[in-house]
Amino acid sequence: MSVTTPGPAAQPRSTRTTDVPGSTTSRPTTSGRATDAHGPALSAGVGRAIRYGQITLLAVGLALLAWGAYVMFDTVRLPRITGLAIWIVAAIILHDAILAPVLFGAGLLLRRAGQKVPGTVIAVVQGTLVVGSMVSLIVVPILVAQNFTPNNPSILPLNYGLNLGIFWLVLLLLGSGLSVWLYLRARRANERPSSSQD
Amino acid sequence: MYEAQRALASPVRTPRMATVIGRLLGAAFLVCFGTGLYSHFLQDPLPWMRFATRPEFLYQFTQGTHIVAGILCFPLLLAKLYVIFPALFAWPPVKSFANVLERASIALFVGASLVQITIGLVNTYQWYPWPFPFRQVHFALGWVLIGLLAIHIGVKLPIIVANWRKKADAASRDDDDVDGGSAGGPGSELAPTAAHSLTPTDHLVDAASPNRAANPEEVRLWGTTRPGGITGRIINYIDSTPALPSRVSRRGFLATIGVSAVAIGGLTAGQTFAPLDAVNVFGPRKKGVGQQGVPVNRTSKQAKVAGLATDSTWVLTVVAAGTELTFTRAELEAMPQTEVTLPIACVEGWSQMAVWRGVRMMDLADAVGATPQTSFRLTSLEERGSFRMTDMGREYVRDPLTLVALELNGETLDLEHGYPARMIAPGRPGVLQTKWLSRIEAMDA
Repeated sequence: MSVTTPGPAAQPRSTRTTDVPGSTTSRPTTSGRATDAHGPALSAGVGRAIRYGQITLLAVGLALLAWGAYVMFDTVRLPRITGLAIWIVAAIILHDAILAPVLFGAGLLLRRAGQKVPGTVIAVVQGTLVVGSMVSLIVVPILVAQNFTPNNPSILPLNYGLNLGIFWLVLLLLGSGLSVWLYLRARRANERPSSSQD
Repeated sequence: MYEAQRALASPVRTPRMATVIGRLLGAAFLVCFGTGLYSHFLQDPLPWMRFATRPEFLYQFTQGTHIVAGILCFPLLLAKLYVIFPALFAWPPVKSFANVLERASIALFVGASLVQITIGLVNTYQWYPWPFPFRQVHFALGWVLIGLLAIHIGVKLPIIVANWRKKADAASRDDDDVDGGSAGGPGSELAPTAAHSLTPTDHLVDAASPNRAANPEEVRLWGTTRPGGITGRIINYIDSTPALPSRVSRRGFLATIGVSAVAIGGLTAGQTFAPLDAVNVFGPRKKGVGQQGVPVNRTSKQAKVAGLATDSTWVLTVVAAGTELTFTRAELEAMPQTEVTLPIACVEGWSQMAVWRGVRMMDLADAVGATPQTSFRLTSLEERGSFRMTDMGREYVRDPLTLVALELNGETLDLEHGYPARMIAPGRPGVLQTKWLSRIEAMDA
């Protein structure tokens, strides 16, 4: 996935100029925090410190990256590196083109379905599903791996399918319990307009 | 593309949230890198390297931490990618040559991070579905990722500095939310995010919140506020969907990531961290499961040693400075025996405390006249395998807890644990605790 921040941060080149055009995006906070006492002087100092920090980090980062590339080509044969490159590209596609859009669509549908439901309830339902998916992401590969592991009773010794089922059950019980409680609380609050706080 | 960004805008997709999640993820990466390097150099030390043998659980701790921190990267990395996702649709896609490099570096950073934590996890399941060697690639990618992390922090430093602390205005906005009633229902808080102080050209800013008035950027791009046709209809559909109140959205997001991390970490860490053993339901290993109550990494069948190891003519050969002695198992048993309680700790992150009984390595070294400066090379009966031959530095040879073990948990060592004799030393990875010992030979002076 390619991501960029327009503005000063995105371009190492521009950060080296003395006064960065367009740096207004990041400046307000820095100067904003400093305004109470000696604003301009402090923020100029901070700005210079940030630039030195950036240059140092970029230099160190490039050196480490180069070393990593050297170690890679030194210890792994080229066809294997091609295999790795395919995996990296596949990972990007899997996340950016499948996982993220599905998540976005699911959130959208959920919010549409629950138009009349308080936002806190939607958040809990979303959270419950995400937590369950996240744990499944870790555990489902075990279920697959169990078909491939060597004959060794101490590797993957548990009943992971059953455990995952129980986990989902407990999670859904907790999630729905919390949702119902929040829903009722919100309804009570709406019936008594005086208590807007809770 | 701007519409895509707009549709994806959410109260959690802010530079502040990217900083909050990013620093946790960065810390997890650094922990993984540090503990990973330690584990690597224990196995492949540079000639001058010497290691601490105390505390005895040192490696159990560092490698257990490596695996737990690695697992925690799953919720953290996915959360980070969620926060920055609209940036994928930054428009125009590239602005300058530096911008191209930066986007490419982030693409590599994201892809390599996902691959690194995935192969790390699946490797602990002893399943290797990838077309490359795990250890070399995991090691090289570690350097690559730490380099990319430094570059990424360098590039984003102004944003990170600006958002390291919670902003005063953001805090006051939260207070407003409270006053307005947090459970006030959908639609009540669509406005606040639009009031963000940063400019709309910064994609990470939630200025592009739904249902707000046309902004100059859209007009500049399309001449109107909205594209027509199917795209327009989809955008309308998305925009007419109510957004969550921003405070609920932010807290819900953080709570979801927190609960995910606690669930994933808590339900697996018991494989190394004893207090969590009772809730270890998803760990790839379970304490106490295995022959003699100890898990096994490489079986005698995999190592193809069953024949040689159970042969009655087996002897342990110890060599130093021209002296070569052989010991039968009975002769080893006749020597002074020492009992130690040491963990066996695997590179895969599990560990198991156990009681070992056998002959001190020091006594065998002295028997062949080795000096205190002598390091030894250990050879296993197995014919092949990356760890058939391993080196033991003098700090381990001279440690009173280092044993050639003959018994485990009060019984004769099981074949799976290295019968007739195996090495056990404090603070070393399991792959260096050589099983089915055949030869112990001094390496130099």
